Amino acid sequence: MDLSDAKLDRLLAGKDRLSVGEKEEILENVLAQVARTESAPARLPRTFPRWAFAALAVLLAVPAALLLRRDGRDRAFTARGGSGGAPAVETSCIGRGGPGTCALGDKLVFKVAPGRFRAFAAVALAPDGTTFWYFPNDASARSVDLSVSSRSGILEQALTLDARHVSGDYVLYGVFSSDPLTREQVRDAIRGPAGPQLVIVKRRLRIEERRTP
Amino acid sequence: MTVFSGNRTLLEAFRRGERAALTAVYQVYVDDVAELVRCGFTLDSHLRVRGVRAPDRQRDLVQEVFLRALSAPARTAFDGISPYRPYLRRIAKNLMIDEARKAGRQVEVEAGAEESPGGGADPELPSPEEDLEWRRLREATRAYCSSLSDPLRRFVRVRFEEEQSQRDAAEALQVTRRKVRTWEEELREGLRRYLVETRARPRPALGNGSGRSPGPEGSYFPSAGRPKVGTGS
Repeated sequence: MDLSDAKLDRLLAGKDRLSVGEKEEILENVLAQVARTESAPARLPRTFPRWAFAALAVLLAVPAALLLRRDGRDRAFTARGGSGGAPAVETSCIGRGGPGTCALGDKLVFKVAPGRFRAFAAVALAPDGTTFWYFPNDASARSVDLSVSSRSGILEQALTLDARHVSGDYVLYGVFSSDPLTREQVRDAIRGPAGPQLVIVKRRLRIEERRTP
Repeated sequence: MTVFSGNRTLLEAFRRGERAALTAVYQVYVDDVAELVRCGFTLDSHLRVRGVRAPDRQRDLVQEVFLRALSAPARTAFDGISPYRPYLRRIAKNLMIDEARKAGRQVEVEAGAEESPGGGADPELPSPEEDLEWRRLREATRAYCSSLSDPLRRFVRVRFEEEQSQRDAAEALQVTRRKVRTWEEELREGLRRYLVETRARPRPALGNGSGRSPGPEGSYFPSAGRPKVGTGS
């Protein structure tokens, strides 16, 4: 017997057709997919031969393996203000739980490696479609000016995963730009094609129910 | 008449891919597309494509239709003058035909059948077994709902029957969105448990020659006590 949430919603509605929950879920999936497609970098032309991808992968893999072996640590997260490596963003949560997890009520901390960029904005899209502005967290403010933040790359302002948050998988957009941006500019950047003045890094952020003490 | 008629602002926002505009367009047309997917359709050449009964396939198809229609190339190519509904229906029909072909199903031939000028779909009736199962579950759900507190019953009406968003439902019932989400989870969990429990009870035999009919509700009537679900506080 199918007793999925969707089936139960249909039963509660009294109609064996798409329920309100199913329609909302479809809409969220469509909007997320459309946003993802439109913020993705341009693809290589189709004429690029497939064997070239394999060759390129081998060429990159060998030095990368040597480098990792030598250093014994993950080099993906380059030092702040480094020589223009790819920008990166990491999040971690301070709370009752162990590392690597975030729960409602925790403090969310950002660590960024901006490469050649100077400003950083962060927006998250909640599973229920709500948008959370982390940086700038004020409608009239601009994204964080990294030239005046700490050298460790850890942003001073920690954010509380407050009651407006729900548990689930969030899509986190980190927007690195040459100059601080308004919310409107960040929004346009996420929707539109990325230019040379900015880079968008997308991460999954899982937030769990509040932990019991 | 299209959703964009006389609404240049919406059209421009739609072309730019603004979330609110895409949502507005989706909400206007989703029921129509879903109905087409569910019911199937007939073609000019007297071929019939059956509707999709499986809920997950219905969702997948509806999602694919809107993914295509709301993609950047499709949005920017839309002139804003042509009717939008037939455009969406054409995408849905092509997807359904492709799927039928891939599955190796022959599109059923029905002599003289043509799609009505209004584009209305022919209802695809469920099988008797499906219909009976649905009616049993629905009766049980009614019984379950009748056992709910007044606030929860109002919530079922507003959120599920009237299909209001979580935000609107919260506003209508003067509760928080968090409360709405909690109620949804409680309702589903309670109903699921109730259906499983009532299913497990002995059912009267169907067609046993005794001349008695169990009625459409079968064993789902909560004769042995009703569930205690939600206080509505």
